[in-house]
Amino acid sequence: MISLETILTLQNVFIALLILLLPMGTFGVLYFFGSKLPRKGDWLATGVMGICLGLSVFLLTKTWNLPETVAQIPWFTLPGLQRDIPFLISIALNPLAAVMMVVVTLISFLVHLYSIEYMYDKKNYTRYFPYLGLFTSSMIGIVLSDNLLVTFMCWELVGFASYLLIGFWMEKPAAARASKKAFLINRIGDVGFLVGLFIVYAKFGTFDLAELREFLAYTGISEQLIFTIAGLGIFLGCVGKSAQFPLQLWLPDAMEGPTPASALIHAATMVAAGIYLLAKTYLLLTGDALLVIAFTGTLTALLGALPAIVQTDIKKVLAYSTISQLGFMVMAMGVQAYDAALFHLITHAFFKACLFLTAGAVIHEMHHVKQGMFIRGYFNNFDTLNMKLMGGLRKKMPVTFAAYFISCMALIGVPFFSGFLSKDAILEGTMQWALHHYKTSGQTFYFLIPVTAILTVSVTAYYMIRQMILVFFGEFKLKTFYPQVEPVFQKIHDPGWLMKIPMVVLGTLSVWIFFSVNPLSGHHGWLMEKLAYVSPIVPQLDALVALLVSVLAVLAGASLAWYRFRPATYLIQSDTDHSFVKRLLKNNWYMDQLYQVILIKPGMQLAVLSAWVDRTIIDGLIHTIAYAGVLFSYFVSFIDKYLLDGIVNLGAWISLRIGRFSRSFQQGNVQGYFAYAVLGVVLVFLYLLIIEF
Amino acid sequence: MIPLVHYLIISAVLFSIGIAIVITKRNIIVVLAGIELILNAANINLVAFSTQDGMLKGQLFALFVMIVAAAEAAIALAIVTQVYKHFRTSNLDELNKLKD
Repeated sequence: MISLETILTLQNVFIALLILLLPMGTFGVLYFFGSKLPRKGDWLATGVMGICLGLSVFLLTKTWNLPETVAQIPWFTLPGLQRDIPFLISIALNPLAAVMMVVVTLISFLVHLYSIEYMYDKKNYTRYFPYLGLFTSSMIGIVLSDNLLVTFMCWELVGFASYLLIGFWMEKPAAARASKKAFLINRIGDVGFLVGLFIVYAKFGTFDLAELREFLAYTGISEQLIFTIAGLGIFLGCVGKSAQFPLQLWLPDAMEGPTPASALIHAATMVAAGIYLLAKTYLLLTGDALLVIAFTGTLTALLGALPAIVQTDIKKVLAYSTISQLGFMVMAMGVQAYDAALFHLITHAFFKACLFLTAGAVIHEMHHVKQGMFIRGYFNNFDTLNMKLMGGLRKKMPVTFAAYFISCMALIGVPFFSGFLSKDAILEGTMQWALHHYKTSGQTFYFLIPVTAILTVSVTAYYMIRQMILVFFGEFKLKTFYPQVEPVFQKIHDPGWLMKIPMVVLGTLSVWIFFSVNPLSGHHGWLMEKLAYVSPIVPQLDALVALLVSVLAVLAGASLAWYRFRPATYLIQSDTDHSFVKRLLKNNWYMDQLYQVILIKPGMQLAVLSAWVDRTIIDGLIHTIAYAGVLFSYFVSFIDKYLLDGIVNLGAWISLRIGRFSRSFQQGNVQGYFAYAVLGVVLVFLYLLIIEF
Repeated sequence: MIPLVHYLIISAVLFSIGIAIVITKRNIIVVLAGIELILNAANINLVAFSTQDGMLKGQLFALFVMIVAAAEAAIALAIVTQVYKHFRTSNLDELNKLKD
């Protein structure tokens, strides 16, 4: 007897699978037949993504008030010693997954819409939409799957799709390099993830998260070194995917991809995967692992934010801010502010996607300026991404500016914007955590985390205000270099509605009201209440303190930036007179170079050495053995040819001779035969005579 | 009374001449004649020895041999005519197709 509830559950599972498989289907269809469809099938991909969005919203309303549903089907079984070991494919439907699916499909849908206008005149338009579909589908796979092995597979698919998108303009050597770099750095994280998986499997005998949750529901994870290693291994996967220190290097380079794809990577799919993995495996993380996670996140937040201060590339600033914000999320996970981390993941997804899309619109217009100058006969190959050449775009692109302004405020963490709610929750979490640990252990180093976090908030405000002023305020700086640009500048305008709608929607979603009625605290908003997690941390501090500190930090950073880059006084500094600190920040702490020296060079030398060993010693050994073998076989063949064959040939030769001899009697002459017969008779007689006498 | 040895000598001579003819002559007919000589040499021996026992067994056997010789000559001559028809020769040196 199937109850109504089961049918409803089945329906939900079916819808979830549909959302997972539809984009994969468009990937298949568009990859093979996209070039034959009208407009290369962009309408199909966008339409399917719209359907997925609708289904996700429907699923969210269906599952919001239900307990978690886990659906499993057996995948394969391995014969074991005591019993067969089943491997399951399982998906879990819970409010978090449903919300994430809405976020992923919404941002993906908006990025699709945006790309139709942004990418249409670009090369390889046919390949673009299938990749987006693959990317979205694999991210939904990570969100849905309730099994570490399946998660790992989707994880790899996400890595692969990001490789395709970062290297989308693969004719550009920088893009090809960036995609390789992202892929290889992610491999390091994957190794850690795999090690974590192995330990989990060795200790619990299952990859299934539902089973693991059951195991750990009452006792929690025990504080053993092996579990810490497992947790840190899984965290290393997150470090790679979510660009944490020391593997954050791939993310700034990933800006080589198309801007809408960057929006997708930075908001909903790639980097969110790492944080989401931490949330999934949260029960497996021991206290020590959480401590490491908290400090890694804090370090990443600060080290990511500082280089953004001096970047001149509009997208690089956003890339570094992504690193920094991901650091915040990881930090929040580490300080057991689980709900705040996920809340920030979601709010960040919206405003960061919006920032990237507005940046894309600005870049689009700068391209038009370049083209316009070219048409008028002034060919100047200036960098369309360089913020120092922009300025004054506020009046020319009001809608873009509005969307940018809202999401920028959200990123900075100004009250009444979504980012404030989540960032404040994280700051409060770190303070409560530090106080809690200070009270229990008396150690003061726990305060490093909230202090660094507050500092990072200031830095964030500083670089974002700087970017806003450079891009949207003041004079159009390209004019100071090329006065002829004036008529082209006058033609700069907001992009078309296909690009406007996504920016407006995402900008709107960066306002506080969508997450919490109270503009100053997200704790009682619908999302955080649902995600709330029983934290062992006892609140020691009034939330108001955190709020005040957060606002003050933002004010400090923002006012400093406003003072330095104030539109009236700010002049373009020449790019040459960099101090050491500036150069350090500009080059992302010289970490690339450091890796070059400490990892890549020794690696190359090791490779050269092992090539030498391979070529001279191992190959030499093999060649010697081969020569010995050849020599021996020559010897054997000599014996074979002359001795064995000789014996055989001798037999043949003897029988030939005998045959010839006996044939010689058969001359075919009747009289000859008769003569022989007579001779025989004579011989018989002779014999008889001889034995007679 | 002629002693037995004389018969035996005649018979041996006749036998040897027959053998010589069979081995050396080229014409089939002559070879057949040589065979007749050999048979008759044997007949002479049979008849000569039959005088010694008085039961005439040897003479009877000689008659038998003559009959066989006649039959043999008939068949052999028939073969010879066929051979001649086929090969257009009666030269034994040329009739060596059995060799191959």
